[in-house]
Amino acid sequence: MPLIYPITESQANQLKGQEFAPDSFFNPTQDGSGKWFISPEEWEPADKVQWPFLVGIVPVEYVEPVSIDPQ
Amino acid sequence: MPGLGLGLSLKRSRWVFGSSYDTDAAAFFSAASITNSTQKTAVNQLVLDLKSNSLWSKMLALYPFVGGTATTHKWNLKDPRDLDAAFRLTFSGGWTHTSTGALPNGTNGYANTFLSPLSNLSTNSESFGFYGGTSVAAGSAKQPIGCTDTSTYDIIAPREVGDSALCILQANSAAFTVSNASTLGFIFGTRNGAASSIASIRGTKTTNGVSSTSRHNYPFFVGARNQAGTAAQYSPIEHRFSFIGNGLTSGDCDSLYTLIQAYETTLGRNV
Repeated sequence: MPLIYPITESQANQLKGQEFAPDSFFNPTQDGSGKWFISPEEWEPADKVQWPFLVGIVPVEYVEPVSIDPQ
Repeated sequence: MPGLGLGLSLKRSRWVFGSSYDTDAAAFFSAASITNSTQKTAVNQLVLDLKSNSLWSKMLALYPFVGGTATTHKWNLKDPRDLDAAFRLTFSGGWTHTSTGALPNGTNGYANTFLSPLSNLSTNSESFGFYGGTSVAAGSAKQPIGCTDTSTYDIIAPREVGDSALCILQANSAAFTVSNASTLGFIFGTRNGAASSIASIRGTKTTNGVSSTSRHNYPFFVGARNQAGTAAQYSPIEHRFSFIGNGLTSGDCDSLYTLIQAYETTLGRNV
């Protein structure tokens, strides 16, 4: 399973829609365990001075949400 | 030329080195800052081929995914203005952009096209699809392009459990399934009538009489589906080309497959 960077709901609200790289915007999401997270693709280029709470987060394994239906 | 074994005459206006580029192609190059000569040749020929086969006017959004960055990948070849109204992509979440295309991470990466069935398409006239560059196992492919209000669906799920592709265009839960064991290559669907749809999987077409229901106003997402305003069914399939347009005829489907395959071959990323 892919790795994700867990954050709090409050942190997710701060990041949502903010630009982390040119023409690329944060999309904090909940995984299948209800954990809010951002991906490595967002975390790595993100400005840790602008978002200091991103420093030191230990990535964890992603839990896939249960699909209710394929369509 | 690929595809001519189908017995159809794909019209091609061959661009001659040293001549100026097609005006629409040139506008795209300028907006997206495309300077690579191979990419410019490929995109220019793509535009010429779409026009000579009467497909250009049927398209609303064409995403060639050249240039290798989010900034170059966001542009709509059909209307290269940096506006939501021009169906310019906005990338959210995790994507990896390279010379082969735009790869969503399958956990939270998607792009908004701002193009919705209700606002921008017509009843019983719709087409959309993608050129996949990643081989994904059955059940993990999810939905690389689509939208729904959870009553009416416009989605493609290219490889569900059991190796079948799900294709729904302006319809409800009456799914149109086609056998498919690969997420690679050009996969698209079109609705061209109240009870007429076509799924094209790497050039092989299947028709279906699933009736249309209605149109909704949630815009298409790429990399996932737009589920009543929230991205869901995140897909890990790389996009090497994606499009949204009006309904296509059976002949249009053949032509589109052939010229897109030629496009990817020129870029050296055909599968």
